[in-house]
Amino acid sequence: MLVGRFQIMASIAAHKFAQCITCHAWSPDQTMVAFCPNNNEVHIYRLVEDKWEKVHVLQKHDQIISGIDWSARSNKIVTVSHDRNSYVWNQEEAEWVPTLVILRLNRAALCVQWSPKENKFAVGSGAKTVCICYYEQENNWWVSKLIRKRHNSSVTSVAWHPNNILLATTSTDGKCRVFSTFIKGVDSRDSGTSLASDMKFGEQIVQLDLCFSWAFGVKWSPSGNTLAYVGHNSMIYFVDDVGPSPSAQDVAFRDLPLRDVLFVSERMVIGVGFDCHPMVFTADERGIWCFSRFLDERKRAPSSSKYGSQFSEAFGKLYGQSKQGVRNDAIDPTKPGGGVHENCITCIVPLRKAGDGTVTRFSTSGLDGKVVIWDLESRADLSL
Amino acid sequence: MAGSEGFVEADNTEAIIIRIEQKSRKIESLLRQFKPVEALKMALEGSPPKTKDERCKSANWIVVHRAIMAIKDVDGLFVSLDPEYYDILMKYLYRGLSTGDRPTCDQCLRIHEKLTEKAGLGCILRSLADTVNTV
Amino acid sequence: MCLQNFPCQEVERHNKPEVELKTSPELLLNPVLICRNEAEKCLIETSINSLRISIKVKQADELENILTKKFLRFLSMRAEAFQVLRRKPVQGYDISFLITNYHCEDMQKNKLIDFIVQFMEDIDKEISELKMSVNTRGRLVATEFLKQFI
Repeated sequence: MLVGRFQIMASIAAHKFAQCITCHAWSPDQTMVAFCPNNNEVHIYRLVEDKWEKVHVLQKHDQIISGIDWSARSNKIVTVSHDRNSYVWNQEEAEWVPTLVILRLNRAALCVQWSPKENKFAVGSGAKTVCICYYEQENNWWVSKLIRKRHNSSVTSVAWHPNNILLATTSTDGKCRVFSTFIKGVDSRDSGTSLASDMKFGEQIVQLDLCFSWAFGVKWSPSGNTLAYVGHNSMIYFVDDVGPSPSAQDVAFRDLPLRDVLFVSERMVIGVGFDCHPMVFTADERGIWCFSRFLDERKRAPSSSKYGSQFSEAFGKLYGQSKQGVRNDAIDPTKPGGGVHENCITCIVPLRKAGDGTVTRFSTSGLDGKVVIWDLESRADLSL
Repeated sequence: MAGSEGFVEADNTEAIIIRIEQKSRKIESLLRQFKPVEALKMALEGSPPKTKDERCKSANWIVVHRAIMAIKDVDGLFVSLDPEYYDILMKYLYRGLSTGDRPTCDQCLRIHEKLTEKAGLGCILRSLADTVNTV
Repeated sequence: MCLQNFPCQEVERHNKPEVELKTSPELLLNPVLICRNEAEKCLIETSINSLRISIKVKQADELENILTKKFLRFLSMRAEAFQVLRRKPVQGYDISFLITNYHCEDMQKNKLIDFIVQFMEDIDKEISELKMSVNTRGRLVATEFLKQFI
């Protein structure tokens, strides 16, 4: 078993869908991908016999779509746009039927995420507010409740704690905040942890004032014990014990800033951004975080047969044929080999297996119009 | 209330100025002993001054500038300069580049090139993005 | 000439370059001024979705001054063709570029930077060539004019 460190390549498939992708999301069974090709539409593609086929175009927004999330259990798509609106799309037979959600915003909506129980979703906005939306059965209507206070600038990212109550936000005022989103009649008192259950809606649990520049891309670890977010000053911040006395670490790195992060385990985080190469951050036994390496160091030995799934092979084949993919690889001499992405990566999404908490596969998309799937399963060094 | 706060600020400013003057004397003696890197470290220590007062910032800049200009061997500088000084040095290099003084700009450009090589673009971003602790 | 790649492809909120509007100070970064000397300098202002690069070109004498003005005005009037050229330079500078997140979506960032660096390198050459040709013509005209007195 001569499996060297670099033999285990992380990127397994890439496909260029559009000129530029603002955000993307996967269907519950991960056979379909929904993305916004930098305009007011959502395109849904399905992999049919080794080829990506466009199966749906969702048209309702009239400005660029800034966020998409596809709920894993209820199979609903939520979209938000700079046109200040949000739609929840429900599949009825072959069609996706939109329901308008009145967000009551006077500025662009910037990001969206379903809560873990999928009974709420959160929208960050340029109006310096966060909307928590929930469904009212009796009126057949999505209601939006606003957290107006606190944010001094646009809300760039939102992340739900696994307990379905706490919500973390980042803002261009440089701060990361955690709020309670407890809504009577939607959440039960016993659903959250002791910390969260006696908090009122909109109450701020903590404000993290670590970053002196814009903050983006906040995420919770799978257990909800650690919070990570990034700053435009080429730093990433890790916060433990989120509550009255949080403990924080910051890690400075030598490359361009990140835009989004993803926990693949309690002690491993993937960061993506302007550098075009996903970065791996790991914590040691003492919980000290540091930059570990780039994810897409070029494969040193042929090991393509290792990734046996049909899905990935089909994906790989298409990479070579993609319309504009035959560009001459401009290799950055400072990096070990050219990367898969050729422009800023703006979005990273986990690909979860049903009934499995850990993330071994995830996908990234960016301004180069590609969606790239990465697999950590075969990485020998992922023993965390 | 506002008056007393102003007084505290002024008091603080005086204290900072005195500290910078002491620092300046130590730097001069280090330079006389031909220890330019030690002098630069000393200059960057406690920078930028934790105040919005432009007078303090200028005073500190004069000290840092003196130390930067004394550096002859740029490669040698980075052998002994620890990474914790990189971010703050970058901020002062940009201040130097904005002066328009020919020798200062040349020197700052030379160090900037090496520093970027060492500390990466992230270091530049940190100096650009930190709008709170300006030098 | 020192120019770093500053990322500018960012969320854009009002669909307007923040560096021009300057409505929310928290969306701007520290501006960078890089001088070679008093006469030659370059100002880089960065915001969340756009950046502005302004250049002051070396002008040794009156003639260079006039030539620079005329030449850069000529370029600025055709700003559409260059995409990233600003129609009017920022006050105190000879020429300005305005790069927005849209440019970064369409174009490769390093190519954009190369273009601007190339432009900065060429402009000096261009001006001195213009100066030479003006001087040559001046000499010719003078010679022709003086011939009648021989």
